[in-house]
Amino acid sequence: MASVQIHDVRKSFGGFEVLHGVSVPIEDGQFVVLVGPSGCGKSTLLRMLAGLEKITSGTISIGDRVVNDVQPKERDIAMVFQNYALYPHMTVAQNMGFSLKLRGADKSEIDQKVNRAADILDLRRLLERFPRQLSGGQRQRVAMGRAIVRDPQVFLFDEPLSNLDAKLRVAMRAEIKELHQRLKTTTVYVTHDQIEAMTMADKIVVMQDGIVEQMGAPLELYDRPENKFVAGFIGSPAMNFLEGTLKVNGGQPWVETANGAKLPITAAPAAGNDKAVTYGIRPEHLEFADDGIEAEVVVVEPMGSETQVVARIGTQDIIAIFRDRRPVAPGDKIHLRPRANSAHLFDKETGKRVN
Amino acid sequence: MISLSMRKRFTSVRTYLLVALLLMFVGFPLYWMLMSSLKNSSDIVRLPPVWWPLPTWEHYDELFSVTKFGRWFLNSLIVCSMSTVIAVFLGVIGAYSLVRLKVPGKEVLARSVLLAYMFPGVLLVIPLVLVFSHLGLINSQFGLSLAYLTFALPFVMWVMRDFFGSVPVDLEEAAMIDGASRLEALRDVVIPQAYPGIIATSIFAFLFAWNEYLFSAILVRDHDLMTLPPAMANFASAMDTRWGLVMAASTVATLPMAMAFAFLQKYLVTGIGAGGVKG
Repeated sequence: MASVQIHDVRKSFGGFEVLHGVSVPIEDGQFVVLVGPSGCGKSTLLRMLAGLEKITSGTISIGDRVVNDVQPKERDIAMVFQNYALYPHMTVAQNMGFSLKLRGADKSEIDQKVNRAADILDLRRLLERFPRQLSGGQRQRVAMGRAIVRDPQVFLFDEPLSNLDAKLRVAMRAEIKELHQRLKTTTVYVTHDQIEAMTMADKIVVMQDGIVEQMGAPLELYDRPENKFVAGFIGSPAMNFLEGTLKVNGGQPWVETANGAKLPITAAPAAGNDKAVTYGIRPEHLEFADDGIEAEVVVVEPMGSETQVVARIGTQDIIAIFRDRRPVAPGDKIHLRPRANSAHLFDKETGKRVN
Repeated sequence: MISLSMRKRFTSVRTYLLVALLLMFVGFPLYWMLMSSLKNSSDIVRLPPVWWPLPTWEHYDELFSVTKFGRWFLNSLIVCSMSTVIAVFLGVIGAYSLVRLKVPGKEVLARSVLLAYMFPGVLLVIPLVLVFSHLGLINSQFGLSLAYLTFALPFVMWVMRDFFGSVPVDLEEAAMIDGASRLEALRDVVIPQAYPGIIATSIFAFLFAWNEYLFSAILVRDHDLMTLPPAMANFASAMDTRWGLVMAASTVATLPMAMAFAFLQKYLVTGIGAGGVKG
């Protein structure tokens, strides 16, 4: 196991810079998830960590060693690919033992390590099969097995669950997390799915357009996003955003929307009166209140454990989630009040958090 | 009204008829060759033709006892094997690097490979004779197999390029992370995915060399070093053509290729499909 330091790393493809100085410290044994929309540079960063892409500038260290110019095979890492990248002409056992064979391990050692990994992942009865004879979930487990057998310093996962169906994805998510708790190997995991990021990570790194927007523990990012992008990206359904102007009139400040609705906040930021802001409120932080903002119900989505209500305030749709069951129907007028202490305020121009 | 299944059956009958016709067209010369090799000399030219002769082995006897057919057959095997092995070895490495390595101007390089392939042999043979005579490669089996690389190598490279292009790059990257060098990844992971292509291109490279007449006739003059095509051409002369001998020789010469095609046809289909082959 080892810590990983990514320091001011840049990457250009033929003069076009795709990573603009990314720094991510990763502690020994940590499960770090790089998340962001496609094209944000997360996979490129992972591939640089693996040694599959050259680093244009900056340094990457694994343990105490700077690995910028170290071949992938010398980095003591294992990687699970999105399409699993199992060797089609080898059996499951051969796939898992390939790295040991290259290292020159003797047959009994290979067998022993492959069997141990197969036990962990419940692959014993599949060892003699070929990849084409396996289901998607089984292939995924073999790919993980191949990584485990190596007993590497760092595990790298490149969107490993995106080829699986929804149900299997949830199961494998738990399996990977359990595996990490058991092996405690430093892990870097790339995904575009913020739910995977939230559920699995010790630390989430949110990326966009080649920069790190924010990093921190999942709930930290959820509760206190530093900018509008992170606020909108983390959480499902996404945070509601309402445009308005800040009003500080003596005592209690509020945000006023174009159609005159008053959105409560606890304290005014230093920004001051009449500043254009974006008011963010998560769906579960809206509650029914007679003195709330009037909204018209558009769609009601009962999920059983909760009910999602899409409502229209003026011209803008917002989503609210309620745990209790209420007889609301499309067309109803309801009154919603945002919880003032859960409101997020962002500068309308820069998108930066201001409260 | 004709039902759908009737129509389907009609279509498949028509397909089979067409295939049968084509088969006759392709197969008849082979049948004629085999039958003529088994007829005695007077039956060969008899009219109306003898369709099912009482087999005689006299031409085969003569082929192996009087002529140096065995020697020439062996020469052909040696030259064709050498040029195939060299072409496939270099072609595989070349094609792989054209696909995977970051070489400046590699697209131009790849196209110029095809350009070399399009040159008619007749244009190449004169400069080749000049170069080879300087290098002492005239009348040499090695020299002839090098000459065959002028068409075999571009062909192998062109077809294998498509094959390697279709092998997911992730596989190699996984191998390299697993501890393989690039060459090990090529050997242990990439080449096994491209076996159908390698088998198909090997057979075609061998076949082209096996059938080649011009280079062989010009570059090898020594009677003992000749390959089959020019040697067999000597059976036919202005005064007299020994049809029985020609047909027996042709039959034996066809055998290795026919057998190779029969055993390896499933790979050939994949190979032709992926590469596209010059007819």
